[in-house]
Amino acid sequence: MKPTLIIVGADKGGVGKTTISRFMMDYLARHNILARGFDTENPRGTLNRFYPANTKIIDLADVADQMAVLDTLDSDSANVTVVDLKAGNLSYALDLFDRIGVLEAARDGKFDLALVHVVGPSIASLDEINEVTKYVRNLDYVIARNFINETNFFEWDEKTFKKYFADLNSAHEMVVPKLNEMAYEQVDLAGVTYKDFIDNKAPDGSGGGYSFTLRGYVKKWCDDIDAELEKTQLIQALLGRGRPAPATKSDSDAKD
Amino acid sequence: MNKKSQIYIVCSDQTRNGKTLFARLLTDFLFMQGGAPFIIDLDAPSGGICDRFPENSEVFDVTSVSDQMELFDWVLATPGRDYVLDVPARVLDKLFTVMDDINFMEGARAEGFEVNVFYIIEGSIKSLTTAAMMHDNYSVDRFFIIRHEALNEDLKDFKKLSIYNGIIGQGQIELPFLDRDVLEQIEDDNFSFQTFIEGEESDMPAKTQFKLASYLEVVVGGLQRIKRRVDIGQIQRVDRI
Repeated sequence: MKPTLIIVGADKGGVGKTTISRFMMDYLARHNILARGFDTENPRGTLNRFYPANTKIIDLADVADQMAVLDTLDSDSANVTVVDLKAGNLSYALDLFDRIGVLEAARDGKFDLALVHVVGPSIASLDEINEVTKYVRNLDYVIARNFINETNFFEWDEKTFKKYFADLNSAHEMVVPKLNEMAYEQVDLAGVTYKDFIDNKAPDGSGGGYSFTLRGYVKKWCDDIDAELEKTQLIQALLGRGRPAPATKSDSDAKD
Repeated sequence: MNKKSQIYIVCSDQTRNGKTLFARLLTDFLFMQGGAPFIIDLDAPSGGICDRFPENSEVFDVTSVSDQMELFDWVLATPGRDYVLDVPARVLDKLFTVMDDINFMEGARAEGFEVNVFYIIEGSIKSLTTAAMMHDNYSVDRFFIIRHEALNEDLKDFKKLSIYNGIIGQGQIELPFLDRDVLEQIEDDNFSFQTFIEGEESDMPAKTQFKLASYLEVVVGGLQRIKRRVDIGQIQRVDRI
């Protein structure tokens, strides 16, 4: 199986990149797919707080750290690499990966590369999609519309969004539903993975004493995102189900 | 045999059709059977049934996540007793959606509970259809129908009868008509079904007493049948194990 590099990012801050990265790590662990994480939120590292054993904090501007990610895709025992880009780093990272030939290598089939672009409710997020389009040609591009920490509806008009989306034949849309604030906060405070929270396990493996109700909400939320993720080419390929044919322009038109 | 604790959910999609009255009767019946039921009053914020059982009841707002946590976490952490939930129509959908979202039924079973629904139906297609949807979609252990005597007229309609027949499999209780004088008595703050049945209610006119006794004979008879069914269900489960 080819190694897979999953980049999770957005230029806008506070849209839930690390939440999605955590979810990706969680999903892969639940499906027995060995994964490692790189957290570019240097030096603090939120992803690293939840996955200390298999996540490393890096500075993407540092060549040694770039090598730690890219030169080990083949050799590391973990077949999947998740890179959580800090806010504002998406365009920079894509530009860097383009310049040093990472995107081209992925297009040539050396490894699979997927970009999970987390978008919030603002118009700025739509502009980001425009920016990113030039880099993601023939690569897996997942637009994750994140409702998790937003109570309001998307500012932008659905029709306008669909237009952006229709021009990207290889793109998949994924909706991340809202998790109620109390559940979100409790998982955060517990400092454990979503799976451990659902299983009521503390970081040291002992009983977590978490609320049954909140564990239920988190499980429901995970089940809902699982279903969304499993519609994407990226996950279909990782689960060994092959790659569904990319949507065509006429498919998108038909949906409208 | 370890007797399972029971959660009884008294509900309906319609308002003012006797849910709280039936929940009171059920609670008194459980007390008379030697139980110590706890009443969960979902008519927040003021509460309805809790005034009748101040020592054994609490009001919860099922639309609030913190109250949901308090309620469901607490019930599951304190098995070994029965719970009666009195559910106003306006929160019926919310209650079942939350229970479904957090997989409460599975958690309750893991803690040794069985979940029973007493659903009060009315004669409209909407009420019967909603009852059928609840019956089919939620994996409760038992689903009992509570029907008013007046429903007999409505069930002459074939479509209604056919929906009704699909949901009565696990048992039903028929509520006879109640005259105004009886209603006035049982709505009195100091009235208790248990006290009346145990013969300690002295102020009630003889005619009213007779009408109430006849009413209770039917309803308590129905509850006894259902209790036997619950007990037999538990014996059968042990046999299967």
